[in-house]
Amino acid sequence: MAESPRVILIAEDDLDHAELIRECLRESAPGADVRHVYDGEAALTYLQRRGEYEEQERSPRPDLILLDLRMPKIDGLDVLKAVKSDDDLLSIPIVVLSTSDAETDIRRAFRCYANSYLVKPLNFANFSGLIEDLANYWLKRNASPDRDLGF
Amino acid sequence: MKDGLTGFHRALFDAANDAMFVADAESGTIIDANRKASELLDLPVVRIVGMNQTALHPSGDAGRYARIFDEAIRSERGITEEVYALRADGKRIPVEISVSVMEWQDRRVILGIFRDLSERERIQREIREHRDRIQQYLNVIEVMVVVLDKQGRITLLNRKGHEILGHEQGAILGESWFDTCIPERFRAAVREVFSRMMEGEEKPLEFYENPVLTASGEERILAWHNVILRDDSGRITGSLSSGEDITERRIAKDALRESEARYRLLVDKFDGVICIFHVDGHLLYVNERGADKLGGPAASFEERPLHEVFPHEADMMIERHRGVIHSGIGGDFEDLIHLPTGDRWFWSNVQPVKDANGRSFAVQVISYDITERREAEAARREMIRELEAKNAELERYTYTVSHDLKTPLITIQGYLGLLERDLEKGRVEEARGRIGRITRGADKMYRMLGELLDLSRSGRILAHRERIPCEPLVREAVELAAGPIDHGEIDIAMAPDLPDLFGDRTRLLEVFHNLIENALKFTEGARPPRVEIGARTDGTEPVYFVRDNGIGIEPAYADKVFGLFDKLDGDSDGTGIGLAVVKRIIEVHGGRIWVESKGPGTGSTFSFTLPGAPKGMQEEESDG
Repeated sequence: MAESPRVILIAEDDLDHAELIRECLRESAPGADVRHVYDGEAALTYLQRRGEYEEQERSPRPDLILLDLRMPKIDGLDVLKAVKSDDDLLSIPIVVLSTSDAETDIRRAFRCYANSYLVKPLNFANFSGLIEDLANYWLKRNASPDRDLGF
Repeated sequence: MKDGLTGFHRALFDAANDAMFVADAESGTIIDANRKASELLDLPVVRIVGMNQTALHPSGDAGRYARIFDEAIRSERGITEEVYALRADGKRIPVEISVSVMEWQDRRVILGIFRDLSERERIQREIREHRDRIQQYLNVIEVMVVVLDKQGRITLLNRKGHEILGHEQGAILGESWFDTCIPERFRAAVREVFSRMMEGEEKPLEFYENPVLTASGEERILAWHNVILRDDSGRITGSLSSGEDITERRIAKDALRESEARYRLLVDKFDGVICIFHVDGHLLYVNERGADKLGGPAASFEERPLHEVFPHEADMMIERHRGVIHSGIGGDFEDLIHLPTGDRWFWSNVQPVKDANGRSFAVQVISYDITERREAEAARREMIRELEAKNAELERYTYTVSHDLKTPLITIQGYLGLLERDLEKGRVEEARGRIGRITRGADKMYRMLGELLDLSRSGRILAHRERIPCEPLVREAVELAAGPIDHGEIDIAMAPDLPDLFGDRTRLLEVFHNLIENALKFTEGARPPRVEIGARTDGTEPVYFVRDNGIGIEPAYADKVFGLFDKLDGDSDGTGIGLAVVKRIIEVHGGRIWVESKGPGTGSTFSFTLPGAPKGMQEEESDG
């Protein structure tokens, strides 16, 4: 049975950033199914399979969530809280990917059970290196109860 | 009794009230004695007759009597002397004897008449005792008693007098009162008054204060009470004076008066308000500072009912004063008092005032006008609040500048990196797309910086506040916001009679401009689009509003629209600063802003309040 592709959900209100991340993932996680939602509300609608994401086909369960903090309507912290208090969803690793290196933001994110917190680097080489590292770690190294690792 | 008297002579002899003896002048043998003589000697007449007359007297004095009789016989005239007679029981009885020699029945006889002086002696003794007792009394009492004769010599001075004057007992008796006991500088005058009194020309003052000179040369002040002494015939014989030493009391009184004067001065000139209120609701005392505050001389407020002096606060004050008086416990209070000179805040300490019996009958209130202090405190609190708000704003601003501005930079850098790869691999079409994104990121960055600058300007202290007619301002804002839009397509309604605004005109124009622009932006899809500008009165303050029939807002996100860089709609081309600027301007003016919407598709209403012109700033005032 052919293994279904890894699903990565990007929650990011800046379309350029979302596109940039997608470009980087194309190289570091080829074949991954990358989905993008514009804000926190859409992220929760996707994860809880409501509204336009009701059909499973449109909302495959992510293996990794890349979450921005400052988003319209529902911000990243509220998404974190909702996911980590949901028994079905809490095992999905959430990596906060933010422009902010403010201590309060980092502290708050971990208090809401973020699995990791990464600051978006300004320099593109660093940016793509970071995406590569996180894809390697979270998709290849990290063990998940959701699926067996391929090795 | 062959030689004795008989008949009428006998009766006369016996009726006499004095004892009478008749003795032979040669032998001294008693020939006869009367009834009174018998009583005097306590012997029957028969026993007396035949005695020698010398036996009538104590034997020790015999020589004296013999001499009296010899003298009487020799001079042939009567002699009167006080001697003693000897009674049968041996008791000596004082008598006055009159001895005379006469011829009787052809021989010379001696007639001795004895008057019993026992009674007189008893009276004299009693008088002496009285005098001694009076002297004792005089000695016991704690005032000086001095008796002067007509010449001003001291004839009596009691113990206290000696003590006050510092002289040995009796040392100055007989001395001149004026020379001894009156300070020299008063001496002539006092003597003059005294002599006129003695001549009856001047009545004595009943009470007066005069100093005396003591033995040590010190002066003491006495309060005198004088009477003039007269003999039985009414002639002036001297004066009797009693004097109380009031030196210490006078010193204390002077000290008290002085200290009271000093205290009074302190209270009158005290740099706070001091009032004393009687429990019955009258103002007993107010010091000068208090009178200044009340706007009149202190005397015009004293004894007046509180309801007249403090028409607004009298009931509250009286109730408070009674509470303090009944409990005996004072306290501190802060009150706004309506005075003729204006409303002022006072801090007051209220304490009960007790009379000599410890009963509270009034309260003493010490007050300070703390109006300026309170205003300063309020201004300080306001300043702290403002600084805190500014600080928080600054933190958000710093956060924004340091983090949100990174977003387009990351975009630019990221796509430059991708562009480089594309160029290496000769992917021209893709490279073009990268360049488009880079340009957009740079544009966004430029816009953000411009609007951040605008925001920082909006937070500045308002340079010029004025009353602004609302309608022309709104009209101008509509022109600015709707300029590029064809008026035929959008319905912009403005309510008539909009209340005047008070504030910085440029900033308030910006508020309406932003709100109207925002409304227009989100009504683009509505058919027909409609924007309404109006005002309503909510309580006392006017509430201005800008309403649209556009996309609306989820009530849950109503607060987020005013956040810096917060946008609800990712498709809109704004930066998320416009509403933050509006909020900032309204808050700097002291107003509030909020948005109401029943949800997506129902339109939104942005409402804000603006405080009116402060008192004393009706027209124009520079605030800076």
